[in-house]
Amino acid sequence: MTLPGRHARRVETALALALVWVAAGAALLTRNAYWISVATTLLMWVHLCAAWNAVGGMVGQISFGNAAFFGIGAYTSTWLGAQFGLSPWLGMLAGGTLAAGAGWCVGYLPFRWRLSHLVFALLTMTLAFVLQFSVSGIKSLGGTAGLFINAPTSLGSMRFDEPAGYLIMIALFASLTVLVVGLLFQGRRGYFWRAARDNEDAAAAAGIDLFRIKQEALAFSAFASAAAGTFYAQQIGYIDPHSVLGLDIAIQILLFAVVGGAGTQLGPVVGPLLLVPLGEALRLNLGGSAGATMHQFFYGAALVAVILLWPGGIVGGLRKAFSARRPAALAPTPDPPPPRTVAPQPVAMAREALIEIAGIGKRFGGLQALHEISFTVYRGEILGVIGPNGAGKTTLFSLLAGFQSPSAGQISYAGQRIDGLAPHEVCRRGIARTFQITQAFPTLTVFDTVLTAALVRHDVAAAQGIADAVLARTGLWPRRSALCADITLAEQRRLEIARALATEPTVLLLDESMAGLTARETDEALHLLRGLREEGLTIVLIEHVMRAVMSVCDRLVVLDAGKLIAAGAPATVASDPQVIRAYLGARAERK
Amino acid sequence: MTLELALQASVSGLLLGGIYALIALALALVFGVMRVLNFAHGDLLLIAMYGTVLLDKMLGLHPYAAIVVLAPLMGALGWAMFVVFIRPLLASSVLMQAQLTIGISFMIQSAALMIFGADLMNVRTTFENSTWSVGGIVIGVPLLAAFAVSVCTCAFVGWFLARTETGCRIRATAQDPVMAQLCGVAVPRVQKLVFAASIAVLAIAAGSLMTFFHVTPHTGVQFSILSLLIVVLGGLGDLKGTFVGALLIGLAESLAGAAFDSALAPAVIYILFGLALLFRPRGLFGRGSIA
Repeated sequence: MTLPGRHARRVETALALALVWVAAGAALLTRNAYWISVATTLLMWVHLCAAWNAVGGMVGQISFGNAAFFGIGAYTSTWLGAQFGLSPWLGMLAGGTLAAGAGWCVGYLPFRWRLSHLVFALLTMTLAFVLQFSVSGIKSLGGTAGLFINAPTSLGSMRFDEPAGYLIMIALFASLTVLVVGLLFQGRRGYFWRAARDNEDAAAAAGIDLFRIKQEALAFSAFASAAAGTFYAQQIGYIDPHSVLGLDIAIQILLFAVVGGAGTQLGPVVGPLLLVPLGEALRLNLGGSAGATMHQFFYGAALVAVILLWPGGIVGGLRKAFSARRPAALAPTPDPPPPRTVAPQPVAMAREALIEIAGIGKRFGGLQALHEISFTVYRGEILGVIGPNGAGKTTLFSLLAGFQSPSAGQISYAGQRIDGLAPHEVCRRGIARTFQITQAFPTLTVFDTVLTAALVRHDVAAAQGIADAVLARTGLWPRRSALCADITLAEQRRLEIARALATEPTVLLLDESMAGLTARETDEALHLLRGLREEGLTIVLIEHVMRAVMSVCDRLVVLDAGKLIAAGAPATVASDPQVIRAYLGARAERK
Repeated sequence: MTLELALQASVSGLLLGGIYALIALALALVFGVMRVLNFAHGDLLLIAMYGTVLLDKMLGLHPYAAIVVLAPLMGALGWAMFVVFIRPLLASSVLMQAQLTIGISFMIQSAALMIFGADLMNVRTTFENSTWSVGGIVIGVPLLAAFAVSVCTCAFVGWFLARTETGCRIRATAQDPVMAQLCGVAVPRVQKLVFAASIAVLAIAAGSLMTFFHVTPHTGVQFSILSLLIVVLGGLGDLKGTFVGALLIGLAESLAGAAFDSALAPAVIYILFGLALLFRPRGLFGRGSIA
């Protein structure tokens, strides 16, 4: 069993590796020291771009500060070599570890608190500046004058008499980075990366630990960038704060990777491969002071042009052009797999409390969105949460699913407190949510979306089985190879449910899963819900479609202005005068 | 650091901060009205600074007189830049726009290097060396004049936004572009106007700066970063916060420089910035949009 798209990803990794060695081989064949040094620089950029791409492209957390990691590598190995005569190979490990640690520190708060991408980007830039100016002021690190390296040439000191030695070494480094990123991208982690990049809320709802995958990618990126820093220091034999920590390096990494295609495997290779030789050609042909900076102008123009014309970079643009000509590649599968139960536990006969909500409140600044809410969800029931707009229904779901923590009260699930847990932790315990405003992964297919959620608990083969079953169950099987950006609203709503089901939940939280659907689509959705209940799933749903609420729910709770005003069987609640005043009454009056 | 030195550093820091305020205000206004963080802001200032140098060299124009010539030209440049580069990306993410403007910054910087070379350039004026001494603190007259011009311009911008109909439209667009559009505000036109005007204002900052400051192709990036720090510190889109943030950054920069007297002084500012970013994401007064 192979995954759709996996073959293409493997081909791309192989192609990227081949390009690295074609560039190295071509330069070696010229036997010209100048071209060998150009190729060495080029491959160092490939290496740095591939490392940046792991976090900036694949996970989508753009870093303006990878120069900091590069500089940490250069300074650590150089200083350790000068002070203790430590081999640069060991210095490289030390620098890499230090850089990974620095990456972990700079990512910690923004990732833990889920701050915006901009905050992370600016913090990485800040790290680079703080290091650049601090190192400039530290005498033992050479200050602004920098440090020299006087080791004799040998493999052990990472210094060579022949420039070809450096070229082969950096080609190996670049290959290793490209390969590691490629292998990670092909596997489960690749799905989590793409999910995190496309839509963080949906990724968290699918059970993905965003903090961990971002920190891992950042630490890897930092380690690899630092290794290039050590290499650069040994090759040039001299470093200073500007040349290894300067903003220009960070910008150039970003520029090459984005022009090539951030988030693709080939992009970070193609970007430098096109731009560096063209820049060199400009420099040679123009000569003088114009030539010395013309290539920079050209780099800037390339970045501007690519962002305006081909937002996915050169590789993204080419891929789009190719896929437009090629028909859908998925092999036709004759029949959907037989439907299978998602939660095979029997329906509990006795009323067993599953979720207990005790006095929870939520305050946003001066607004009390929820106040002293207490109710219980019993195993195997369908509980409807209704109330006028702004009553706090979605806030309640956000608290239940861990997207926000309550300001007061507590929530227990199967006897354990779950308030304050992160969304992925709540999801892994068995509570899965959908979103009122559908949250899709625009660049993933329907199948990949469901697979990603299933991969959180299972290996690839098992996850594939679950994904197939869930797609058949929710009626999305015929649309499995469509991109999430291309499906209809009704399909998006079903995909929300499918993503939640793929996490194998005990409780489903459905936030207006029928809003905007036609009568027939609503009936289909109701049929699905009844079926899921028969299999033993517990369902809590927020719904405005009264026909749906009255026909499918066992019990209702009613919220108004953040307070619980009624709870009970649908018929009882519907005749409750307080409910009529707050909710149904307002409607009746309008009519 | 003696008390006298601290006072001297504080005064010149605050005066410099007043000029930073004008530059950052233009950036904050652009962000407020179109949610674009322009990383080429300082490089546009750089163009105006070189323009001031050229007008001095070719026509012998005083930097303050040069403003009159440069402001409309910068406005036209801003207009063109908005139409060609910014408008197509208005719907993209802040970081996409950031990358685009970084590309523009790269282009301007290397063009300046090609045309003017790496040497620093300045403008000589008749009052460049005159100083006032107040209670032992020496204040350069050019710096004081530049401060006065900048703060007056800031005040004018504030008055314009608060009191005129166009200002009202601009504030409405900044607060809620959809609602503004529904109320009949021509949002695209307001955005274009604000972008062009903000770039035109940079001519005033450039003229003021060139009476005592010098310019190299790298100056632009420095001012881009500086105004970015100020705008984030003040709270994205919060103009009063930006003004106070600018004074604080000027003060902190000057005091850190006096206290450490070393190349690591600027690190202090960035550490402050990092902390502000994490713990005051809505800026000093907590009124900006979240970063």
